[in-house]
Amino acid sequence: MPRAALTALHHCVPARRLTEAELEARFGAKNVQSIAKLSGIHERRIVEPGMTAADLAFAAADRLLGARAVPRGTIDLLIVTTQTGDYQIPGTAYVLHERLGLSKSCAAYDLNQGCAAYPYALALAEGLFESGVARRALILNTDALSGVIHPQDRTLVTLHGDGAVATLLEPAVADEGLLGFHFGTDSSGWRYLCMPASGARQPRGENTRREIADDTGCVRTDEHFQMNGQAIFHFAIHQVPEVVREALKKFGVTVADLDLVILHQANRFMIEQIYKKLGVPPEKQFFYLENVGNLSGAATPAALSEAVRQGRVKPGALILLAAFGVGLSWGVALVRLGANGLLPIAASTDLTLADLAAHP
Amino acid sequence: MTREEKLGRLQEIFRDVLDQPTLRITEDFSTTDCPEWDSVATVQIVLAAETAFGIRVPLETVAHLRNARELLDLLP
Repeated sequence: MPRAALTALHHCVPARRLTEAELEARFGAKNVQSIAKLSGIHERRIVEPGMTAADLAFAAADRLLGARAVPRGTIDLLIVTTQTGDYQIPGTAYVLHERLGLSKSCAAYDLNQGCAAYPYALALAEGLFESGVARRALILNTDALSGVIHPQDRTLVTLHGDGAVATLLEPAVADEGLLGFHFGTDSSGWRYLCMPASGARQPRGENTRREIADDTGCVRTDEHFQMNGQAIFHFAIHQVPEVVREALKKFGVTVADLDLVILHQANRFMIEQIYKKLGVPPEKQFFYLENVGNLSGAATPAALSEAVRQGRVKPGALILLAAFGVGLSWGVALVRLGANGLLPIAASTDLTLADLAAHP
Repeated sequence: MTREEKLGRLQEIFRDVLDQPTLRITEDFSTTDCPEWDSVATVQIVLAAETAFGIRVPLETVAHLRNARELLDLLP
């Protein structure tokens, strides 16, 4: 069976902007500027009330399928990665399967993964191509963490945005396609990226709604997403270069062979440190967070999509994607584009509820 | 290197990261003593100490680091 290849990408972020001025009024100019100096994030896109991660994914998928004139009945696999689905039961894949008008012969399921979602989803799709289950797959990476972050949690509000990416996978031709994967887990750190009262272990009640301020003034409750920033930063700076080196060795390639190295868009300083440790030269680096924020599970494919849109990715390019986060988990994927490259589709950076009402 | 010498080396790192050239620290120096010592500064302090002393600070220690002593105890 042929491998899977990326043949189209489209990313979508909502129209609503969360600006530095708004955050300075909330947290103080000094705090906000200090974080922005390191994170490189100066504006975030967040959903307006009533809009969800599924809406963003729907718009990304609908526009991609429309732009490429893909008959919806030919999609035989739908994978949705999200941590902010519409419902705990059922998975968001089923909601989107209906909205997108996909066929009954299309397999659909959710993957509960965070920032490392993209390599995981690509690997699952690749396995289903090789086993003959799938011939044309749609992967939707979407998250809207703004809805589960406490508005007074300075460390998370300032970093995160909401967004979705649709990726179309079709049978590879010649040497293009998904060439290799490398994964790992350090579960000793799962508590450092966690929403405690979000499932069966800690039922919601009066206690979980109690606001707690830490010694820096950040406020949250157990019903909100929480991050131990210093642990995650330390993990990323050390673990990611190590696993990328392992992956390069496993794939039999070097940084010199690669055309582009795309990392999870968590924080500009963090990404720069990882690039530096790996010896990735500026022309092989790419950043897409300054005006959208960290898009969680959508961040890595959004950066790839934006690189395509900006003409940074040429036909036949060899690209390394490395993503890391919740779990703590990481994934690395090696991808070669086809001779025709990826057709650039203008990004959707303007999604409103009115758009969704027009195309329910 | 004595514990006092190690604290002196750490003090240089704290001065540099916190941008306070005349800062003097004791083993009890903590995040509550210095508003500039936030989570970003913690990471910078840990990374600088790891480079200076050739160590790797465990993730759990980094996650809960609040005073100089916790770092000093790890230095060889």
